[in-house]
Amino acid sequence: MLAYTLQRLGIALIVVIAVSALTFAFTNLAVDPARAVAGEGATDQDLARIRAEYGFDRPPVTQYLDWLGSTATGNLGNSIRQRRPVVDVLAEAFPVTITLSCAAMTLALLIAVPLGIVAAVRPNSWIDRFSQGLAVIGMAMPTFWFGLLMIMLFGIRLRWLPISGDATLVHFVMPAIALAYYSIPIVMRLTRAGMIDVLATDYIRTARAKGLLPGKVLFKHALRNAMLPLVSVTAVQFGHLLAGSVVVETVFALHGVGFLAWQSITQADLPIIQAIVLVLALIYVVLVLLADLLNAVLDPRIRLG
Amino acid sequence: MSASVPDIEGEPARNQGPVARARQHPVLLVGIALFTVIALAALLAPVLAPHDPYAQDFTQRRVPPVWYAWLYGSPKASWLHPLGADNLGRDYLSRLLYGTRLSLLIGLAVMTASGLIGSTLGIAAGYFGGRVDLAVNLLLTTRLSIPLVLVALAVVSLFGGSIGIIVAVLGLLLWDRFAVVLRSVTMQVSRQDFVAAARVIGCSTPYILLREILPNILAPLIVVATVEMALAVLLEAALSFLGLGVQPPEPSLGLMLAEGKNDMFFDAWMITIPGVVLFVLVLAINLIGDGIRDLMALDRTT
Amino acid sequence: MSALLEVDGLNVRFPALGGLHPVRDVSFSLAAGETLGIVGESGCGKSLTALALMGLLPPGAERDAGRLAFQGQHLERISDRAMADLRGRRMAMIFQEPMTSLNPAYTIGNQLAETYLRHMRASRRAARERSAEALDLVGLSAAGERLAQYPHQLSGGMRQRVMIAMALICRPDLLIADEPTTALDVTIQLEILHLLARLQRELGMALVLITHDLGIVARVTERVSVMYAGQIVETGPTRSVFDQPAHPYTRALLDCIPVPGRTALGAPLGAIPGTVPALVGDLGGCHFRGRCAQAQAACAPAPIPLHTAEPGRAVRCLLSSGWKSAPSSTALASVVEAEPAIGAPVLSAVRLSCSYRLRAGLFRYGRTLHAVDGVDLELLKGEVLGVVGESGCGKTTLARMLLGILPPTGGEVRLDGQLLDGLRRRDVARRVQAVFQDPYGSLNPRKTIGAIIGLPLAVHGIGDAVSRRQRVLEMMERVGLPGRLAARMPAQLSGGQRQRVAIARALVMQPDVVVCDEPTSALDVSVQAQILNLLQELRRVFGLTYLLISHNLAVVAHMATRVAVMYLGRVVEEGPTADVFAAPRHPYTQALLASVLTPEPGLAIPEPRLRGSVPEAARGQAGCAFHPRCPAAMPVCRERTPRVVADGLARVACHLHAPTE
Repeated sequence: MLAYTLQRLGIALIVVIAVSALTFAFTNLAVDPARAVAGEGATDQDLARIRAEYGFDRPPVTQYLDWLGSTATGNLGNSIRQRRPVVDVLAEAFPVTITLSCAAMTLALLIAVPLGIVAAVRPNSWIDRFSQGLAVIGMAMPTFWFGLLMIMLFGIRLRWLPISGDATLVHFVMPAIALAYYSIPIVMRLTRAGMIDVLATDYIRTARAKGLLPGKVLFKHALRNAMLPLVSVTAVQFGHLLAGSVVVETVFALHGVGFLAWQSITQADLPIIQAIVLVLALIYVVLVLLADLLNAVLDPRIRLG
Repeated sequence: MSASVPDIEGEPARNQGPVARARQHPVLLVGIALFTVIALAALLAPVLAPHDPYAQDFTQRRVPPVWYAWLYGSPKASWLHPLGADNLGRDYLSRLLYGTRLSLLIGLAVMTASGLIGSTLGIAAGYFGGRVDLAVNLLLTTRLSIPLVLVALAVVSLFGGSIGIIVAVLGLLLWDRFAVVLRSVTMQVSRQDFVAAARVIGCSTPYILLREILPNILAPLIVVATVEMALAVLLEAALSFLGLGVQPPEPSLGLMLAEGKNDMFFDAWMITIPGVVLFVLVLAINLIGDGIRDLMALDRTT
Repeated sequence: MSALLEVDGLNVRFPALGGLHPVRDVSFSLAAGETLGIVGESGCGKSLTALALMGLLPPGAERDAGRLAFQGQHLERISDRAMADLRGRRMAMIFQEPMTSLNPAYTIGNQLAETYLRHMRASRRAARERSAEALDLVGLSAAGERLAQYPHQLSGGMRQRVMIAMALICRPDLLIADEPTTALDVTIQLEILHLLARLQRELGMALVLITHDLGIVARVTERVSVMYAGQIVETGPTRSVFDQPAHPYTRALLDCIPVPGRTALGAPLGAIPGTVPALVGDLGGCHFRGRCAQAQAACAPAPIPLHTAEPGRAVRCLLSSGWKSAPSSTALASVVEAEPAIGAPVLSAVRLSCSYRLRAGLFRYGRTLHAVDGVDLELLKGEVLGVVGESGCGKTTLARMLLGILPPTGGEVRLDGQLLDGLRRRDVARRVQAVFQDPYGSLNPRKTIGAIIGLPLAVHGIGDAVSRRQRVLEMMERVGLPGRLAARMPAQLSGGQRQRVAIARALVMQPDVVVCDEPTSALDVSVQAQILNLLQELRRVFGLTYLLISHNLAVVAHMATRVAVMYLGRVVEEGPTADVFAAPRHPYTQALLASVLTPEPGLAIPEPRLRGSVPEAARGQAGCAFHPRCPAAMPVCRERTPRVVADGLARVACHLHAPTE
């Protein structure tokens, strides 16, 4: 078990370093960082001065290692536009996004998993077809359009819900639904397929042959095994939600990480972009690691070899 | 003639060709029908569009679709602009046709590019295993941890929003599902005895990959391709919506939605119509993918 | 005495699958404590019959019966809940695949106890104690510790014992065993059958044993019912059914099986032409008439009833009203043609090894497994060398190295004296070809039969398109396939036909050597006989040399001129077939031969001689690989690897036969 964990940590570390290197290379080599700081109308003298001041004239590898080093100690640099430490900016934005993503993930799981289970237990019934139809429609619906439609209907016509801002929890209802809407079909299909596979196994047949009642067969035997693939998928989906929230946050004017990223990109605020990509990659890697560990806990075959 | 007992056989199992099986599948048929209609419309955009999609007409700004004349008695609605005109007076129908064309083009291009990258990596990992597999896995994990949308946004903002750039960045990022699925399927197929038999016969590795393995992984490949194409269309729309995709004045469904967003309080049709078109297009692609997947499952009855 | 189980007119249908009717009018009865065997080939409906009895039919299945009574209770229209109460408590079932029949997420103890707690009012502690008792009962040592283990930590044989323990924990009156040993190695199979017989005696329970293996049925059961195409065609006391089969199918089936010691070496086996009819709709009369040598006009169209002449003996055939034994259904060629002469070694392996290290982490390697460990073997021109062994013995790995598609990690392979890896792939392929085990996996599902058979010709550039096509058709005729199948896809052919295609493909370039890796293991007995006959005949016609790999000793005894026995990557004994089978010297060979259950009723099941289970693969320790299980192990066996001792054509690697120093 220990060996397994260490091995996974090792991979995670390599990936994070790779991503950080890519990000750094990308942002710093694509755009002249000095010009980004200086803005429009800077003279060559200004640029030279800025380069010396910020250290942009050093070799790229040195700059990268420096950046990596300071990142590791928690210093992500300063935002060019806002002239504040990046860490502070991120610390303001992250809670919004995390709230949104958690709400969306919870909603998605609460809807998708039971639907998937019922659909698998009663294949080709009306509820199965209904949920399949829902899945197909859900996957075709552009998130931002769905968001706009909801705003029109619930925000403007019916006036049930606020249409922008992130002041109260109620503000998160529509954004959470919009974000969850794309994950629900994916999770539901996976649950359904996983359950169908499990219900067809020999050990379920054994459970029935022992005279166990259908409820016990389903919940104790089938569900336990069908949940395994779901753990990994949920982790990955959560990572995608965090990263993909930019659209929803923009439509609903929530000041989370996604909105911040979009803003920073349009304003060429390099330190923030770098930091966001790095942090999101880190979170993704941690999520996958946790999922792997959880899998090991749940599946004795991995745990005990 | 052999002295051992020859094999007297009844009629072998009737094998319905794929076309016959497809005919029994309403999902697939609907998907194909929808897609064909849309694709034809997009292809024939130059012929079908009543106006030049870029032509502005300030006398026809924010004209609602023709049925507003019947339902609400709007004075400006007419057959001149059957689906209305946007805030610069450009004909909606024309822009929709050209915009769909653009979406399809980008979708196909991205699917091809990412398909080539992902399939090659996946097949190599699945067939050769060992270090190749390890390397591909590492590449895959790195790719998956990169936040897709943000990187795409960043690239476009840095290099401009030309169609080429969009296709390039999406193509270089969307190959992960291809790799994962094809790796798994290739591994399964490679383990079968007919691949070993091909080696015993003396077939070369390129031959085996091309003629023995590829035909057997084509079906999952097509399914993934449809999923990725749909995803590409949606992503392009999202990027354009955020202003970091296709740039104005190009007609893109995402852009039209972004432009319509500001006016949606008064002119709901400005966001409904392009959204519906986008939705139907992606739906059609998904239905085709689902249909093929179902057919495939029936295929594996032996 | 009223019967424990009475079945009358049982039918199973799948209406949604176009009139599929796989179980037709099945009737039998079972007394308390009795053993009944239900025997038949694949698709005959025996498993579905058992599932129907237990109420475990898959969704979409419909069951109806005239009478279905268990211990006097009527099951025809019983509620699901009442049926679930019976299952596991009074009637239990064990299945074929022990590797997948236990839930991997829960411990053995948990799965055992839940059965007990479901049916008996008991505390958890009592359930735990009963579970440990049950494990003891089935011969699993260290019962207490086993309770905390997970299924994946046990071998196949141990898992099957656990399954049996689970089935018996509530002391049912009826146990149905559906192919309980088919997936196990033959030495383990013997242990499990022994266990079942012992338990049945001790607990006084009735046993229904479902199998395709006539040998098992002959030795284990008191009464037997033979099923064909969904119907029971013959029923009676095992002894009389085997000694005097009344139904032509039973007779033909018995003729198909090679029996070591009785069937002449190389003589053609009896075979049943054609295949089983599809079980859809009304088959109009006797289901077997299409393949029966004695079919008459009266055999159709009216259905043939199961006719009981004496109590306990019934037959579904118009010919058997007189109870005379049906004559042989196929005329066996009585002339055994002259054996081709045996010559020089054509393929040889010298200290051949194949080991691989298991990856234990991303960059670390764990233990090393030796699939093949220093094997010396020679294949002489014109002979049939049989290689036998159980799972993990390395025979398939050895085959792949001899074919040249798996690089050895040690030693060398020579073809006609030349090093194999010095030759071009093409040259080797023209001389050495293969037939694999799985008829479903060895043909590319996306190619036509003609393309598959013609592939070697195309790859090697032999002839042009026209002459290739001609050759393919010739080959198809040779192997008994109608030419019109050349345009079909593998999915449209039966298992036997596909294997013929594989043989045609292997021979189309006229190689010298054919490596047959379990060529008939996945086929029914009657089809197996056809294929074996075909292989024999082709060998004589083309002057081929075979390397025949099989775990089925009867097949090897019948086909091979010389045999090599492998265990954990090493050859432990080798010699002319007749000698090895008559007087095996290595303890493993002796145990292996003792595990062959010939269809001779009246003989008891031999005592299992080996301890423990078949290990996964050798780990390269010193000493004899077999000593942990050997009944005759001595201290020296643990320390030193036995060297091969040659004695004329016979060789053996065992300290018992080491020359005295």
